Amino acid sequence: MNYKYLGVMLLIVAVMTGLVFIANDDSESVASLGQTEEILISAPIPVSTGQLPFYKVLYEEREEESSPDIMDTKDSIPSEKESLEIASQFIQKHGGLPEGAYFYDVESLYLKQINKSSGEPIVEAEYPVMTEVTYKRDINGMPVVGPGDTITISLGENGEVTYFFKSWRMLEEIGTKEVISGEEAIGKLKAGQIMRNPVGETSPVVEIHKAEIGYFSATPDSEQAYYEPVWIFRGTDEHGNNVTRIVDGVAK
Amino acid sequence: MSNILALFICINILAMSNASAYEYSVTVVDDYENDWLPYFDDLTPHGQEEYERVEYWLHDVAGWSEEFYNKDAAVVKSDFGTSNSGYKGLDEADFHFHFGHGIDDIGTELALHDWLPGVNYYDVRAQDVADKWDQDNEWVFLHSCHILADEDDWADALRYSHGIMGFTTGTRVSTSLINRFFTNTINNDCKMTTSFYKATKDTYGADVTAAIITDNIDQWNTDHLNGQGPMAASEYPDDSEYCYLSWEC
Repeated sequence: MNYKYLGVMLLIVAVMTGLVFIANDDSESVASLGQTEEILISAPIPVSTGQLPFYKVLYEEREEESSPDIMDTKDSIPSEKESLEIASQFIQKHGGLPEGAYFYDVESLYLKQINKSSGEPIVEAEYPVMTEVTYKRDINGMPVVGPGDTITISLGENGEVTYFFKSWRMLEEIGTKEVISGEEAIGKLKAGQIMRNPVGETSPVVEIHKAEIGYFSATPDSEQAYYEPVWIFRGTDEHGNNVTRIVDGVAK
Repeated sequence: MSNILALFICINILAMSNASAYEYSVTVVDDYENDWLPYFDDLTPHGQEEYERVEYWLHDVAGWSEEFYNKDAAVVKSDFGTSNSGYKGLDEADFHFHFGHGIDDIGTELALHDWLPGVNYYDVRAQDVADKWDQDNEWVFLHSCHILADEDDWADALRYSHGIMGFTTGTRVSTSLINRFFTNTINNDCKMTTSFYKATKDTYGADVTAAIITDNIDQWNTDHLNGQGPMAASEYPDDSEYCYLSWEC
Protein backbone atom coordinates (compact mmCIF):
# COMPACT_ATOMS: atom_id res chain seq x y z
CA MET A 1 0.00 0.00 0.00
CA ASN A 2 1.39 3.39 -0.94
CA TYR A 3 0.51 5.53 2.05
CA LYS A 4 1.05 8.68 0.01
CA TYR A 5 -2.27 8.07 -1.70
CA LEU A 6 -4.19 6.83 1.32
CA GLY A 7 -5.17 10.40 2.19
CA VAL A 8 -6.48 10.94 -1.34
CA MET A 9 -8.63 7.80 -1.19
CA LEU A 10 -9.99 8.81 2.19
CA LEU A 11 -10.76 12.24 0.80
CA ILE A 12 -12.70 10.82 -2.13
CA VAL A 13 -14.72 8.63 0.23
CA ALA A 14 -15.32 11.62 2.46
CA VAL A 15 -16.46 13.80 -0.44
CA MET A 16 -18.80 11.08 -1.71
CA THR A 17 -20.22 10.64 1.78
CA GLY A 18 -20.62 14.38 2.08
CA LEU A 19 -22.47 14.63 -1.21
CA VAL A 20 -24.94 11.95 -0.21
CA PHE A 21 -25.51 13.63 3.14
CA ILE A 22 -25.94 17.05 1.61
CA ALA A 23 -28.27 15.80 -1.12
CA ASN A 24 -30.62 14.60 1.58
CA ASP A 25 -30.39 17.88 3.45
CA ASP A 26 -33.09 20.53 3.27
CA SER A 27 -30.76 22.95 1.52
CA GLU A 28 -31.63 23.69 -2.04
CA SER A 29 -28.72 22.06 -3.79
CA VAL A 30 -25.07 21.30 -3.79
CA ALA A 31 -22.49 21.27 -6.50
CA SER A 32 -18.81 21.64 -7.00
CA LEU A 33 -17.80 25.19 -7.77
CA GLY A 34 -15.12 24.56 -10.32
CA GLN A 35 -12.38 22.84 -8.41
CA THR A 36 -12.76 24.79 -5.24
CA GLU A 37 -16.06 24.73 -3.40
CA GLU A 38 -19.34 23.06 -2.85
CA ILE A 39 -22.12 25.58 -2.52
CA LEU A 40 -25.09 25.18 -0.23
CA ILE A 41 -27.91 27.65 -0.80
CA SER A 42 -30.06 28.25 2.24
CA ALA A 43 -31.27 31.71 1.28
CA PRO A 44 -34.46 32.79 -0.48
CA ILE A 45 -33.59 33.77 -4.04
CA PRO A 46 -35.43 36.65 -5.75
CA VAL A 47 -37.11 35.13 -8.80
CA SER A 48 -37.51 37.96 -11.26
CA THR A 49 -35.49 41.13 -11.35
CA GLY A 50 -36.02 42.76 -14.75
CA GLN A 51 -34.20 45.95 -15.61
CA LEU A 52 -31.95 47.86 -13.26
CA PRO A 53 -29.99 51.08 -13.74
CA PHE A 54 -26.33 51.06 -14.60
CA TYR A 55 -23.90 53.88 -14.12
CA LYS A 56 -20.90 55.46 -15.75
CA VAL A 57 -18.01 56.38 -13.43
CA LEU A 58 -17.26 60.08 -13.87
CA TYR A 59 -14.30 60.20 -11.52
CA GLU A 60 -13.08 58.87 -8.21
CA GLU A 61 -12.84 61.10 -5.19
CA ARG A 62 -9.98 59.97 -3.02
CA GLU A 63 -8.66 61.45 0.19
CA GLU A 64 -6.16 60.05 2.62
CA GLU A 65 -4.61 61.40 5.77
CA SER A 66 -2.56 59.26 8.09
CA SER A 67 -0.19 59.68 10.98
CA PRO A 68 2.95 57.54 11.13
CA ASP A 69 1.81 55.73 14.26
CA ILE A 70 -1.56 54.37 13.12
CA MET A 71 -0.75 50.88 14.29
CA ASP A 72 1.39 51.74 17.32
CA THR A 73 0.04 50.79 20.71
CA LYS A 74 -1.55 53.68 22.61
CA ASP A 75 -2.20 54.42 26.26
CA SER A 76 -5.91 54.71 25.49
CA ILE A 77 -8.37 54.96 22.62
CA PRO A 78 -11.88 56.43 22.59
CA SER A 79 -14.83 54.15 23.25
CA GLU A 80 -16.82 52.98 20.27
CA LYS A 81 -19.65 55.35 21.22
CA GLU A 82 -17.29 58.32 21.51
CA SER A 83 -15.65 57.32 18.23
CA LEU A 84 -18.93 57.51 16.33
CA GLU A 85 -19.40 61.09 17.50
CA ILE A 86 -15.80 62.09 16.71
CA ALA A 87 -15.96 60.45 13.28
CA SER A 88 -19.23 62.19 12.51
CA GLN A 89 -17.79 65.59 13.42
CA PHE A 90 -14.66 64.88 11.40
CA ILE A 91 -16.69 64.00 8.34
CA GLN A 92 -18.78 67.15 8.68
CA LYS A 93 -15.55 69.15 8.51
CA HIS A 94 -14.64 67.26 5.34
CA GLY A 95 -17.76 68.04 3.37
CA GLY A 96 -20.19 65.66 5.07
CA LEU A 97 -21.18 62.15 4.07
CA PRO A 98 -21.68 61.68 0.33
CA GLU A 99 -25.04 60.57 -1.02
CA GLY A 100 -25.66 56.89 -0.38
CA ALA A 101 -23.13 56.62 2.46
CA TYR A 102 -24.23 54.79 5.57
CA PHE A 103 -22.60 53.80 8.85
CA TYR A 104 -21.26 50.26 8.50
CA ASP A 105 -19.20 49.35 11.55
CA VAL A 106 -17.21 50.51 14.55
CA GLU A 107 -14.51 48.30 16.03
CA SER A 108 -11.80 48.70 18.65
CA LEU A 109 -8.51 46.99 17.86
CA TYR A 110 -6.17 45.77 20.57
CA LEU A 111 -2.74 44.25 20.16
CA LYS A 112 -2.64 41.02 22.13
CA GLN A 113 0.52 40.01 23.95
CA ILE A 114 0.38 36.25 24.24
CA ASN A 115 2.45 33.88 26.33
CA LYS A 116 2.90 30.21 25.41
CA SER A 117 5.22 29.16 28.21
CA SER A 118 2.60 26.79 29.58
CA GLY A 119 2.06 25.29 26.14
CA GLU A 120 -1.32 26.93 25.66
CA PRO A 121 -1.53 30.52 24.39
CA ILE A 122 -2.60 32.87 27.18
CA VAL A 123 -3.35 36.53 26.56
CA GLU A 124 -1.16 38.41 29.05
CA ALA A 125 -2.01 41.94 28.00
CA GLU A 126 -4.06 43.86 25.49
CA TYR A 127 -2.75 47.19 24.22
CA PRO A 128 -5.12 49.69 22.59
CA VAL A 129 -4.26 50.45 18.96
CA MET A 130 -7.26 52.23 17.40
CA THR A 131 -10.99 52.49 17.17
CA GLU A 132 -12.06 52.25 13.57
CA VAL A 133 -15.28 53.65 12.11
CA THR A 134 -16.33 52.57 8.64
CA TYR A 135 -18.94 53.88 6.22
CA LYS A 136 -20.04 52.08 3.10
CA ARG A 137 -22.35 52.85 0.20
CA ASP A 138 -25.65 51.80 -1.24
CA ILE A 139 -27.24 52.84 -4.51
CA ASN A 140 -31.01 53.27 -4.43
CA GLY A 141 -31.13 50.97 -1.42
CA MET A 142 -29.02 48.27 -3.06
CA PRO A 143 -25.68 47.40 -1.49
CA VAL A 144 -22.31 48.17 -3.02
CA VAL A 145 -19.71 45.50 -2.27
CA GLY A 146 -15.98 45.51 -2.80
CA PRO A 147 -13.10 47.55 -1.47
CA GLY A 148 -13.98 50.83 -3.20
CA ASP A 149 -16.60 53.34 -2.03
CA THR A 150 -15.49 53.22 1.58
CA ILE A 151 -14.76 55.81 4.23
CA THR A 152 -12.56 54.69 7.10
CA ILE A 153 -11.67 56.82 10.11
CA SER A 154 -9.29 55.45 12.73
CA LEU A 155 -8.95 57.13 16.10
CA GLY A 156 -6.08 56.99 18.54
CA GLU A 157 -5.17 58.65 21.81
CA ASN A 158 -7.42 61.52 22.88
CA GLY A 159 -9.61 60.94 19.86
CA GLU A 160 -6.89 61.93 17.41
CA VAL A 161 -7.71 60.89 13.84
CA THR A 162 -4.76 58.70 12.95
CA TYR A 163 -6.12 57.51 9.61
CA PHE A 164 -8.72 58.89 7.25
CA PHE A 165 -9.34 57.16 3.97
CA LYS A 166 -12.08 57.97 1.52
CA SER A 167 -12.59 56.39 -1.86
CA TRP A 168 -15.82 57.40 -3.54
CA ARG A 169 -16.69 57.20 -7.22
CA MET A 170 -18.97 59.81 -8.72
CA LEU A 171 -21.60 58.10 -10.85
CA GLU A 172 -23.99 59.08 -13.61
CA GLU A 173 -26.97 56.88 -14.50
CA ILE A 174 -26.83 56.19 -18.21
CA GLY A 175 -29.48 53.53 -18.77
CA THR A 176 -30.78 50.18 -17.62
CA LYS A 177 -29.63 46.59 -18.08
CA GLU A 178 -31.52 43.33 -18.00
CA VAL A 179 -30.52 41.34 -14.91
CA ILE A 180 -30.19 37.56 -14.96
CA SER A 181 -32.48 35.51 -12.75
CA GLY A 182 -31.48 34.11 -9.38
CA GLU A 183 -31.32 30.62 -10.86
CA GLU A 184 -28.92 31.75 -13.57
CA ALA A 185 -26.81 33.53 -10.99
CA ILE A 186 -26.61 30.40 -8.85
CA GLY A 187 -25.61 28.46 -11.94
CA LYS A 188 -22.72 30.85 -12.48
CA LEU A 189 -21.77 30.69 -8.82
CA LYS A 190 -21.64 26.90 -8.91
CA ALA A 191 -19.64 26.98 -12.12
CA GLY A 192 -17.04 29.14 -10.42
CA GLN A 193 -17.81 32.19 -12.58
CA ILE A 194 -17.21 34.64 -9.77
CA MET A 195 -15.75 38.08 -10.14
CA ARG A 196 -12.72 37.71 -7.87
CA ASN A 197 -10.17 34.98 -7.63
CA PRO A 198 -9.48 33.46 -4.19
CA VAL A 199 -5.89 32.59 -3.27
CA GLY A 200 -6.32 29.22 -1.84
CA GLU A 201 -8.71 26.60 -0.79
CA THR A 202 -11.73 28.67 0.05
CA SER A 203 -13.56 25.94 1.90
CA PRO A 204 -14.87 22.50 1.06
CA VAL A 205 -18.36 23.83 1.77
CA VAL A 206 -19.72 27.36 1.62
CA GLU A 207 -23.23 27.94 2.86
CA ILE A 208 -25.02 30.93 1.37
CA HIS A 209 -27.43 32.65 3.75
CA LYS A 210 -28.31 35.72 1.76
CA ALA A 211 -28.66 36.50 -1.93
CA GLU A 212 -29.28 40.00 -3.23
CA ILE A 213 -28.63 42.27 -6.14
CA GLY A 214 -26.33 45.25 -5.89
CA TYR A 215 -23.22 46.75 -7.42
CA PHE A 216 -19.51 46.03 -7.24
CA SER A 217 -16.92 48.66 -6.46
CA ALA A 218 -13.36 47.76 -7.44
CA THR A 219 -10.18 48.57 -5.56
CA PRO A 220 -9.58 52.29 -5.06
CA ASP A 221 -7.43 53.77 -7.83
CA SER A 222 -8.21 50.90 -10.17
CA GLU A 223 -9.93 51.60 -13.44
CA GLN A 224 -13.65 50.93 -13.30
CA ALA A 225 -15.69 52.49 -16.09
CA TYR A 226 -19.18 51.33 -15.11
CA TYR A 227 -21.23 50.11 -12.17
CA GLU A 228 -23.45 47.32 -13.45
CA PRO A 229 -25.79 45.08 -11.42
CA VAL A 230 -24.22 42.05 -9.74
CA TRP A 231 -25.56 39.20 -7.69
CA ILE A 232 -24.14 39.16 -4.19
CA PHE A 233 -24.08 35.89 -2.25
CA ARG A 234 -23.20 36.11 1.43
CA GLY A 235 -22.59 33.16 3.69
CA THR A 236 -20.07 31.36 5.83
CA ASP A 237 -17.34 28.82 5.19
CA GLU A 238 -16.63 25.73 7.23
CA HIS A 239 -14.57 27.78 9.69
CA GLY A 240 -17.45 30.16 10.32
CA ASN A 241 -15.75 32.98 8.41
CA ASN A 242 -17.95 35.36 6.47
CA VAL A 243 -17.76 34.75 2.74
CA THR A 244 -18.99 36.95 -0.09
CA ARG A 245 -19.20 35.72 -3.66
CA ILE A 246 -20.03 38.11 -6.48
CA VAL A 247 -21.47 37.10 -9.85
CA ASP A 248 -21.89 39.34 -12.90
CA GLY A 249 -25.62 40.06 -13.00
CA VAL A 250 -26.04 41.46 -16.51
CA ALA A 251 -27.90 39.31 -19.05
CA LYS A 252 -25.85 38.96 -22.23
CA MET B 1 46.88 57.69 -11.39
CA SER B 2 46.97 55.16 -8.57
CA ASN B 3 44.92 57.55 -6.41
CA ILE B 4 42.25 57.75 -9.09
CA LEU B 5 42.23 53.98 -9.42
CA ALA B 6 41.90 53.57 -5.64
CA LEU B 7 39.03 56.09 -5.60
CA PHE B 8 37.33 54.25 -8.47
CA ILE B 9 37.64 50.94 -6.59
CA CYS B 10 36.28 52.51 -3.39
CA ILE B 11 33.29 53.98 -5.21
CA ASN B 12 32.54 50.64 -6.81
CA ILE B 13 32.87 48.77 -3.54
CA LEU B 14 30.56 51.32 -1.90
CA ALA B 15 28.04 51.00 -4.73
CA MET B 16 28.18 47.23 -4.56
CA SER B 17 27.77 47.20 -0.79
CA ASN B 18 24.75 49.51 -1.05
CA ALA B 19 23.18 47.36 -3.74
CA SER B 20 23.52 44.21 -1.70
CA ALA B 21 22.92 45.57 1.80
CA TYR B 22 19.67 43.63 2.12
CA GLU B 23 18.37 40.47 0.54
CA TYR B 24 14.92 39.24 -0.35
CA SER B 25 13.64 35.87 -1.41
CA VAL B 26 10.43 34.84 -3.15
CA THR B 27 8.50 31.60 -3.50
CA VAL B 28 5.52 31.31 -5.83
CA VAL B 29 3.24 28.37 -6.52
CA ASP B 30 0.90 29.15 -9.41
CA ASP B 31 0.62 25.64 -10.80
CA TYR B 32 -0.71 22.67 -8.80
CA GLU B 33 0.06 19.19 -10.05
CA ASN B 34 -2.97 17.44 -8.58
CA ASP B 35 -5.51 19.88 -9.96
CA TRP B 36 -8.11 17.12 -10.21
CA LEU B 37 -8.56 17.43 -6.46
CA PRO B 38 -11.58 19.52 -5.45
CA TYR B 39 -9.51 22.23 -3.81
CA PHE B 40 -7.36 24.53 -5.81
CA ASP B 41 -7.58 26.65 -8.92
CA ASP B 42 -4.53 27.25 -11.06
CA LEU B 43 -3.25 30.69 -10.12
CA THR B 44 -1.23 31.32 -13.29
CA PRO B 45 -0.09 34.02 -14.01
CA HIS B 46 -0.85 35.87 -10.78
CA GLY B 47 2.08 34.59 -8.72
CA GLN B 48 4.61 35.37 -11.41
CA GLU B 49 3.13 38.85 -11.66
CA GLU B 50 3.38 39.32 -7.91
CA TYR B 51 7.01 38.23 -8.03
CA GLU B 52 7.70 40.84 -10.69
CA ARG B 53 6.17 43.51 -8.45
CA VAL B 54 8.30 42.43 -5.49
CA GLU B 55 11.36 42.38 -7.72
CA TYR B 56 10.58 45.85 -9.05
CA TRP B 57 10.23 47.39 -5.60
CA LEU B 58 12.98 45.61 -3.71
CA HIS B 59 15.55 45.11 -6.47
CA ASP B 60 14.94 47.94 -8.90
CA VAL B 61 13.75 50.65 -6.51
CA ALA B 62 15.36 49.83 -3.16
CA GLY B 63 18.49 48.18 -4.54
CA TRP B 64 18.22 44.91 -2.63
CA SER B 65 19.78 41.64 -3.76
CA GLU B 66 17.67 38.65 -4.68
CA GLU B 67 18.71 35.67 -2.58
CA PHE B 68 16.49 33.28 -4.55
CA TYR B 69 13.28 33.05 -6.52
CA ASN B 70 11.71 29.62 -6.78
CA LYS B 71 8.49 28.83 -8.57
CA ASP B 72 6.03 25.93 -8.80
CA ALA B 73 7.81 22.54 -8.66
CA ALA B 74 11.08 24.26 -7.75
CA VAL B 75 9.57 25.42 -4.44
CA VAL B 76 10.55 22.94 -1.74
CA LYS B 77 9.97 22.76 1.98
CA SER B 78 13.52 23.80 2.80
CA ASP B 79 12.95 27.14 1.02
CA PHE B 80 10.92 28.07 4.09
CA GLY B 81 13.82 27.74 6.47
CA THR B 82 12.94 24.35 7.88
CA SER B 83 16.56 23.41 8.54
CA ASN B 84 18.90 24.60 11.26
CA SER B 85 21.97 23.70 9.24
CA GLY B 86 23.03 23.84 5.61
CA TYR B 87 20.57 25.55 3.28
CA LYS B 88 18.34 27.83 5.36
CA GLY B 89 15.98 29.06 2.65
CA LEU B 90 14.10 32.20 3.59
CA ASP B 91 16.21 32.61 6.71
CA GLU B 92 19.09 33.63 4.46
CA ALA B 93 17.25 36.80 3.36
CA ASP B 94 15.95 39.81 5.29
CA PHE B 95 12.49 39.69 3.70
CA HIS B 96 10.58 36.78 2.22
CA PHE B 97 7.46 36.90 0.09
CA HIS B 98 5.35 33.83 -0.63
CA PHE B 99 2.35 33.52 -2.94
CA GLY B 100 0.24 30.39 -3.30
CA HIS B 101 -2.63 28.44 -1.87
CA GLY B 102 -3.04 28.08 1.87
CA ILE B 103 -5.35 25.55 3.45
CA ASP B 104 -6.60 24.52 6.86
CA ASP B 105 -5.94 20.80 6.77
CA ILE B 106 -5.86 19.74 10.43
CA GLY B 107 -3.86 22.92 11.01
CA THR B 108 -2.97 25.52 8.46
CA GLU B 109 -0.36 24.81 5.80
CA LEU B 110 1.16 26.30 2.69
CA ALA B 111 0.45 24.05 -0.26
CA LEU B 112 3.36 23.16 -2.51
CA HIS B 113 3.20 22.15 -6.18
CA ASP B 114 2.48 18.45 -5.52
CA TRP B 115 0.17 19.05 -2.56
CA LEU B 116 -2.06 16.23 -1.37
CA PRO B 117 -4.56 16.17 1.50
CA GLY B 118 -3.26 15.09 4.88
CA VAL B 119 -0.38 16.13 7.05
CA ASN B 120 3.08 16.45 5.50
CA TYR B 121 2.20 15.72 1.89
CA TYR B 122 4.02 18.48 0.05
CA ASP B 123 3.08 21.21 2.48
CA VAL B 124 4.75 23.57 4.91
CA ARG B 125 3.23 23.60 8.37
CA ALA B 126 3.96 25.74 11.42
CA GLN B 127 5.61 22.75 13.09
CA ASP B 128 8.12 22.55 10.22
CA VAL B 129 9.47 26.00 11.01
CA ALA B 130 9.08 26.16 14.79
CA ASP B 131 12.16 27.87 16.32
CA LYS B 132 13.86 27.83 12.91
CA TRP B 133 13.92 31.46 11.78
CA ASP B 134 17.00 32.56 13.64
CA GLN B 135 19.59 33.66 11.11
CA ASP B 136 19.06 36.57 8.73
CA ASN B 137 15.31 36.92 8.20
CA GLU B 138 13.31 39.74 9.77
CA TRP B 139 9.92 39.67 8.03
CA VAL B 140 7.84 37.16 6.08
CA PHE B 141 4.83 38.10 3.92
CA LEU B 142 2.48 35.17 3.23
CA HIS B 143 -0.06 35.96 0.52
CA SER B 144 -2.09 32.82 1.07
CA CYS B 145 -5.46 31.96 2.55
CA HIS B 146 -6.01 31.05 6.22
CA ILE B 147 -2.40 30.60 7.38
CA LEU B 148 -2.45 33.02 10.30
CA ALA B 149 -5.67 31.52 11.65
CA ASP B 150 -3.16 29.33 13.51
CA GLU B 151 -1.23 32.34 14.72
CA ASP B 152 -0.14 30.69 17.96
CA ASP B 153 1.61 27.93 16.01
CA TRP B 154 3.19 30.14 13.34
CA ALA B 155 4.48 32.51 16.04
CA ASP B 156 6.81 29.70 17.10
CA ALA B 157 8.83 30.26 13.92
CA LEU B 158 9.96 33.67 15.20
CA ARG B 159 13.07 32.76 17.11
CA TYR B 160 15.10 35.84 16.15
CA SER B 161 13.00 36.80 13.15
CA HIS B 162 10.61 39.70 13.81
CA GLY B 163 7.27 39.25 12.12
CA ILE B 164 4.82 37.54 9.80
CA MET B 165 2.12 39.26 7.73
CA GLY B 166 -0.75 37.29 6.28
CA PHE B 167 -4.41 36.41 6.41
CA THR B 168 -6.65 34.41 8.71
CA THR B 169 -9.46 34.02 6.18
CA GLY B 170 -9.60 33.48 2.46
CA THR B 171 -7.83 36.20 0.52
CA ARG B 172 -7.70 37.03 -3.14
CA VAL B 173 -5.36 37.68 -5.99
CA SER B 174 -4.75 41.39 -6.24
CA THR B 175 -2.94 43.57 -8.70
CA SER B 176 -2.50 46.31 -6.12
CA LEU B 177 -1.67 44.76 -2.73
CA ILE B 178 2.07 44.55 -3.31
CA ASN B 179 2.33 47.96 -4.95
CA ARG B 180 0.44 49.57 -2.08
CA PHE B 181 2.52 47.78 0.53
CA PHE B 182 5.85 48.83 -0.96
CA THR B 183 4.64 52.34 -1.73
CA ASN B 184 3.95 52.62 1.99
CA THR B 185 7.19 51.01 3.16
CA ILE B 186 9.63 52.43 0.58
CA ASN B 187 8.17 55.66 -0.79
CA ASN B 188 6.47 56.80 2.41
CA ASP B 189 8.80 55.15 4.96
CA CYS B 190 5.82 53.80 6.93
CA LYS B 191 6.32 51.12 9.54
CA MET B 192 5.72 47.50 8.55
CA THR B 193 2.51 47.25 10.56
CA THR B 194 1.07 50.48 9.17
CA SER B 195 2.12 49.59 5.62
CA PHE B 196 0.38 46.23 5.68
CA TYR B 197 -2.70 47.59 7.44
CA LYS B 198 -3.17 50.38 4.89
CA ALA B 199 -2.40 48.14 1.92
CA THR B 200 -4.97 45.54 2.97
CA LYS B 201 -7.61 48.15 3.87
CA ASP B 202 -7.18 49.77 0.46
CA THR B 203 -7.25 46.47 -1.40
CA TYR B 204 -9.88 44.22 0.11
CA GLY B 205 -13.40 44.37 1.48
CA ALA B 206 -14.73 43.27 4.83
CA ASP B 207 -14.80 39.55 3.99
CA VAL B 208 -11.00 39.36 4.20
CA THR B 209 -9.23 39.41 7.57
CA ALA B 210 -5.55 40.29 7.64
CA ALA B 211 -3.18 39.76 10.56
CA ILE B 212 0.33 40.40 11.80
CA ILE B 213 2.41 38.51 14.33
CA THR B 214 5.55 40.00 15.87
CA ASP B 215 7.95 38.43 18.29
CA ASN B 216 7.61 41.34 20.72
CA ILE B 217 5.97 44.72 21.19
CA ASP B 218 9.09 46.76 20.36
CA GLN B 219 9.21 45.20 16.93
CA TRP B 220 5.49 45.91 16.50
CA ASN B 221 5.94 49.59 17.33
CA THR B 222 9.31 50.18 15.68
CA ASP B 223 10.04 48.04 12.65
CA HIS B 224 10.33 49.61 9.23
CA LEU B 225 11.41 47.76 6.14
CA ASN B 226 15.18 47.31 6.34
CA GLY B 227 16.89 50.50 5.26
CA GLN B 228 13.74 52.64 5.42
CA GLY B 229 13.79 53.52 9.12
CA PRO B 230 14.44 52.14 12.59
CA MET B 231 14.15 48.46 13.31
CA ALA B 232 13.97 46.98 16.82
CA ALA B 233 16.56 44.49 17.97
CA SER B 234 15.97 40.80 17.44
CA GLU B 235 14.73 39.14 20.59
CA TYR B 236 17.68 37.47 22.27
CA PRO B 237 17.27 35.21 24.05
CA ASP B 238 13.98 34.20 22.49
CA ASP B 239 11.07 33.90 24.92
CA SER B 240 7.64 32.30 24.64
CA GLU B 241 5.76 35.55 24.07
CA TYR B 242 4.49 37.10 20.88
CA CYS B 243 2.13 39.87 19.76
CA TYR B 244 -0.83 39.51 17.45
CA LEU B 245 -3.52 41.63 15.84
CA SER B 246 -6.04 40.91 13.12
CA TRP B 247 -8.50 43.21 11.37
CA GLU B 248 -11.30 43.07 8.85
CA CYS B 249 -10.17 44.73 5.66
